[in-house]
Amino acid sequence: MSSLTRTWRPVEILLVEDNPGDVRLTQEALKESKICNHLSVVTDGVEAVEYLRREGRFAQAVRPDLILLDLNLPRKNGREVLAEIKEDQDLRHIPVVVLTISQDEEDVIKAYNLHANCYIIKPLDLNQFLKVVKSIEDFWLTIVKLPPTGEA
Amino acid sequence: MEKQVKIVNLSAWSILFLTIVINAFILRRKIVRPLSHLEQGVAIIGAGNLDYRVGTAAPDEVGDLSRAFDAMAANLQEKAASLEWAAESNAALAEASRQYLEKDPGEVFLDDFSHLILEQARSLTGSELGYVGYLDQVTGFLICPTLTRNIWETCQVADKTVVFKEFRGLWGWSLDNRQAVLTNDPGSDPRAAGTPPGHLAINRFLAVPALSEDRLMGQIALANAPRDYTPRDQAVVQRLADLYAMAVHRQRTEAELRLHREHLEDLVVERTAAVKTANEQLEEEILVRNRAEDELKKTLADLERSNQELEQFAYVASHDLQEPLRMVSSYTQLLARRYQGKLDADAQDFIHYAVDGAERMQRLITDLLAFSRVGTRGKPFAPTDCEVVLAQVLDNLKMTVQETGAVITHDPLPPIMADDSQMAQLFQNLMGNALKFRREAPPQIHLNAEFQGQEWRFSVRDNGIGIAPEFFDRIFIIFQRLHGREECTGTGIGLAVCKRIVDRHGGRIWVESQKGAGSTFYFTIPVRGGKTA
Repeated sequence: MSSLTRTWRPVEILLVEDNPGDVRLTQEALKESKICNHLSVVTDGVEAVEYLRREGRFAQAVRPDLILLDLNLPRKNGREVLAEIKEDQDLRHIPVVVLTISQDEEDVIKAYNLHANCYIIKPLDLNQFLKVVKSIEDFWLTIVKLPPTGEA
Repeated sequence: MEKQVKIVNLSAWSILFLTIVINAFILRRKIVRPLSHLEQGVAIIGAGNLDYRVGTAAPDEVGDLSRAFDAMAANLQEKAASLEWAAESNAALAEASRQYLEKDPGEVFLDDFSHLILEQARSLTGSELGYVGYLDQVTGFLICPTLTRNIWETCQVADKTVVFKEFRGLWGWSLDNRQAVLTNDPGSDPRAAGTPPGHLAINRFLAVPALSEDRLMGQIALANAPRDYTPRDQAVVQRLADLYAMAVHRQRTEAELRLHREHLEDLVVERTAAVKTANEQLEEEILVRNRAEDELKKTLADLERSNQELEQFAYVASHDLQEPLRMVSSYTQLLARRYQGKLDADAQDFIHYAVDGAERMQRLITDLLAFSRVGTRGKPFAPTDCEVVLAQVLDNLKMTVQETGAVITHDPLPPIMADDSQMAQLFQNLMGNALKFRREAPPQIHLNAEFQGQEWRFSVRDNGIGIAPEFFDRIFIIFQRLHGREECTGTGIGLAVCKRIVDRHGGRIWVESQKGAGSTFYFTIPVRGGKTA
């Protein structure tokens, strides 16, 4: 009895990631998912904010149910994006999963201080990575009760 | 009848007259003449001749009177002589005192004063011979600037030195005992030692030591007065000796003072010169040092910057290297996963090498990151319980410990001021090595900590393969590996990280080992207050 099983549309996930290899890996991992999902991808911080605010070419963008955010991004880095999301009345309720390669404690602390919902270090091993993506799905898309979508 | 009466009357008068005349004669002989003699004597004595005596043996009152008068005259004479002596000796002392006070206490002063004292003493006592001398402060010899001058030429003693190095005879006794010697028969005095051949004969002798506050300063010695020496002589010579002692004392003080002053002046000149030289040298040194310091500061700043840049580079490099590495490893794995069974054995091998290479690189990067983080990501030192740290490390190593059947023991470990994460890494690296470089038998690892002076010395002992002494230093240098890839998996960074951690904590790290007989790694952590690194 998951919280999202009732909705008619697939779960919307926004991936903010500049590395095509990582994008593809994430897509491959999500392909194996049982949950019907739709992954949108933006490749830098500026685009991420525009997408979320439905600005410019993203005017028709669907508001995501979950954001997977890399920290190391061109133009506007992940921390800035995170800060803007959490300062925005309309966006702050969207869970943000920081998905990064950085093991630096400082990065971890900073991310949580900016109200990241969780911080995950990308595993180097493929199987581990697949497991992590599956865990994200399980937790955020199945176990967790998310706020209702479609408002504003 | 009347005529007869007249005749009787006449004869009676005659007899009376005769009687009177006879009586007058007797009176004149017995009374008037002695009285007149007495009167004359009184006049003579009264005129000042105290040597004169009336001198009568008459047993009558006039005789008594004369004798009493003579006694009085003698008494008076004695008093006068005494007064004269007192006046003489006072005059002598006054003269000596005046000289003492007036003369500048220069170097010749004591010589002159010795002469003066000797002359005064001789004239007061009528002594034919004598000397006045003082003790040399350094040698203790008796130095006599003066012997009786007229005697000096006639004295036949071979060695006419006026310095007496040994004290002998009566004068020596006086000096040794600090007492006066007065003898009018020196020949029979047991303290006498006789005189050297050629010395003038001594028939009377008086020696008085000159003392200043019980310290022997010198001596006045006199001999051969025409009459016996008396205690009165001794007393007056003693007073001269007292004055002489004061003079010697003053001379000594002055000499010392002069010496000190000269020394001080020399010292001042010397020191001033030395200070000047030292100052110049110092200025020069300061200049050189400042220059060196500036250079050093610059070098240090350069070094720090370069070090920081290097650490930053290592950090960023290893951080950024992970991204592409992940791609290599993930996609080769994906390849293997997706095309399992569709590829031939060669392709499987190639994929295996690619994955293995990526894994190895991954470890390298992780270790390199750990290495650079010691400097860039260190935490401030805080009270750290090593027992807690060890428990955490043992938990981390649980799997390996179980696999290898290792036995890990430890003595009580102390609390220290440290970065607990780094201490955990240090323990883990050392114990990880002990587990990794094991022999066939299950590893035995023992930890110990001993307090030594200002620091704790930790040791991690194992029964592993050991290290040859020539590698004792090399193992702590980054990328220095002692084992081939096939033998052991290692990046050669682990002990370099250990060394960096220990360095950061202000300690030392070293190893004691024998090839094949286990190793003991030691490191020290200084005891410190709550301050941070």
